[in-house]
Amino acid sequence: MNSKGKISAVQLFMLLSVSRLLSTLTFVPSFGFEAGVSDYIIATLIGGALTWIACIPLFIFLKNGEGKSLVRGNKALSLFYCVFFLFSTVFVLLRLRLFVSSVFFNTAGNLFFTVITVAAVCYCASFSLEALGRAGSISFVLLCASLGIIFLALKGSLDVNNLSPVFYYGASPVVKLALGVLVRSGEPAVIYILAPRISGNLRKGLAVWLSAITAAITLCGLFLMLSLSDAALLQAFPFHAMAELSGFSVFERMDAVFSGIWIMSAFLKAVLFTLIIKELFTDCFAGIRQRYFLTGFGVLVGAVLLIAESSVLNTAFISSIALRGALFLIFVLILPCFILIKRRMRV
Amino acid sequence: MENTDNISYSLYKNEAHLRELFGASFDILYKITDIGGNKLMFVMADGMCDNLLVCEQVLGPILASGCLPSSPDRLIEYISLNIVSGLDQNKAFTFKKVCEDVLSGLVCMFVDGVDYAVCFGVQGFPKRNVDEAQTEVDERASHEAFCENFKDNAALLRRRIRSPALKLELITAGTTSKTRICICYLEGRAKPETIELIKKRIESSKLDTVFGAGYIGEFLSSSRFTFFPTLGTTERPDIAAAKMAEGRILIITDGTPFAIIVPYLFSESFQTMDDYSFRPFYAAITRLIKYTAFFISVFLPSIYIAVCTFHHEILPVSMLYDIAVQEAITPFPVMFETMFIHFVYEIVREAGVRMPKAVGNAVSIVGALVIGQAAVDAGLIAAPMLIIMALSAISSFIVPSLYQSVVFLRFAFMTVGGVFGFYGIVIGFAAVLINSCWASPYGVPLSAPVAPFSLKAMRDTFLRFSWKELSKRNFNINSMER
Repeated sequence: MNSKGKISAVQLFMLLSVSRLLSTLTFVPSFGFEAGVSDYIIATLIGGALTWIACIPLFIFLKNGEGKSLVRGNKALSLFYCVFFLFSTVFVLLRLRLFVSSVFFNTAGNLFFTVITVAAVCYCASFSLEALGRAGSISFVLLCASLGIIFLALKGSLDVNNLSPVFYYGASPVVKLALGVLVRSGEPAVIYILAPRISGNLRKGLAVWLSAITAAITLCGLFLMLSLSDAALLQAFPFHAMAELSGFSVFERMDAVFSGIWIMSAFLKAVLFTLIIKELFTDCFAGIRQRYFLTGFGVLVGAVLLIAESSVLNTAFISSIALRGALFLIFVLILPCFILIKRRMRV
Repeated sequence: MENTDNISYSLYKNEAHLRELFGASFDILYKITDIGGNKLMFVMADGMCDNLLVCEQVLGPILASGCLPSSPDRLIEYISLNIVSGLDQNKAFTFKKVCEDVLSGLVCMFVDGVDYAVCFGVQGFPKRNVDEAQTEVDERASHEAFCENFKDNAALLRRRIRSPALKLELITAGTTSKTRICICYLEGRAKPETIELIKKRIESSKLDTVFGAGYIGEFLSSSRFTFFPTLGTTERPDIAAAKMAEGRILIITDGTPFAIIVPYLFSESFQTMDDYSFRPFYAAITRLIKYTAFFISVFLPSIYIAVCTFHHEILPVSMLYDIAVQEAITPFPVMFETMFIHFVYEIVREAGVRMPKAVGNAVSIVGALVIGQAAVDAGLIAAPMLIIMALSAISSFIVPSLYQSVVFLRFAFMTVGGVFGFYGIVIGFAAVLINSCWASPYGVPLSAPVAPFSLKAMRDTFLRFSWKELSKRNFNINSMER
């Protein structure tokens, strides 16, 4: 990826925070999976520690990467990462679709939803990374403010007695949940690709971000469990249920605010991934004009969404930790490690 | 080969050439006279010159002077140096320059045997005087506004910034109209590259005529569609001077009582001169009111549609019941009803603006009271809808510089809110946000100082700190550049 306009490290991490918080807020519990509510909180902390470990290759890459992207003009690798981000885009949009159709907007048809969403995503991806970085920082502030309001409005519903004993079902569920937290953190892949487009100290930023985001998602989990307890694990969208419970004065429920931040964050995440795909693709094939690529990409994503929505793929995409785990392993761990070792050997 | 555009030594040839150029135009006046054995010709455009000045400063002294040099070269030099008292003089060696000067209100003097003309500035064309601001009314700040004459406008700026650093550069635009465009900036504060870019963009605008700032505005704004204006406009010289002090560049078009300001930030739309005259806490409150009003004017109708159509659960039960009762008696869907009433409102507003003031007020009263009340009584429109419309309409007047964007976005959001509910509104908001964050036609993002964030600039964005604080460090727009 060449260095066109740059965004600051702060803007990048705000954008990634929106992306990572979305993954947490859209968490769907697995039915029939036995774990205590406190286990989820412990698992989040362990998952955060595992993410730190998973980011060691990224730290090494940022130290030795000389400000270049992991793909460095390698067409095959670029296209490989395009596939990863395509999967991620489809995943985000499918989950958003599920949320919108089941909770928020039951009358929305598949085609109807797909067309407007994909068109808006492609339109926004036609702008620059700088625009997205700026919009991301505003969205991050809105997201934090909204979550703050929701948490404050939950004041009356919080009860420490809702927490269960830790490791009640043994260590195995905690480990599984921690791995789930880990594979939901696909953001390092974004840094591997966007590194040359970021100004500022990325390594320091990454360290701060990993710590802060772990604390933030643990806090979100804590509020969820303190307010809903075991009932959270019976909800399709636990955080949405928590927002329904919150309220103050004439504002009897906060789920509209929550829905707004979910849609906005999911949209920005999809735009970020689409923009990365656009830049990777147009770098590989310089002759392709942006608008033609985005039109083609929109048709492709739209078709995939429509097919996935009406098939078993939908479930696989949305709830399969194995699929996400595989993608995480390949694109965040194995491929970067392999490339780093190869480059090291060459040196 | 003789260049036909060059002025000839022969006065009669020059006269013939000018008569050919101007044709049958009745307002071009020629006066040929004989002074000390030399033939002199004066050419001027009637109505563009001040006749009194012509007589007192040019013709009178020349005709009254007794001992004049006999050589044509020395005569023309002597007249321009010793007889005509005005400072505004220039030499023209081509007919093109003569035409420009005559049509700009100068008197051109030809002497037989001399191959150039001397033009004297005696402009005095009809013009409107400096008047009160009409669209940016302030309570305590200056009431003066720009007028159509760019020289008067330049003087209004000079009066406020008495520094040699204030530069007023003149260029022309429009191949036929040759409209004068004045680029004003403070040397040392404005970025030279931005000044050059502005000149380049104006000069490359292939316009035939330029009759207003809006003509060149489109060449100066961003290359791609943006929902919010990327250029500022003001009719107030005090605002213009304040903007220049912050490193901005002003573009004044002859014939337009508005100046264009670049670079421009979205947050500037919410600032007025009164903010700096009132006490800081009150200025901060009014700013917060303006931001709230902006969001109300854009989003309130669409949120109302979305709530009534899809998301009833959001409202408290008592309010939901009241609205449902009112909406149940109207024959139209809420979306249609909302769009219709806003469309009618825009018709009434447009009529009120275009009609003479007295009739305009009557139109507004008929529109607001008669049509609105009658529509509610007839059961065509629900009463809450009228409240929503009135609230969003009044709110849109609080930030007049964003009115065009507000109207467009209001209708756009009403459409997406009616078809896609909150989902459409949020997606639309995100798209507008990314679009607005992208725009930076002069390197300064429209979304600054919010994104990219600048703590220093926050002292005068959502809040207005006291002058004691603001004066500690002067703000320069170019510090926002990314």
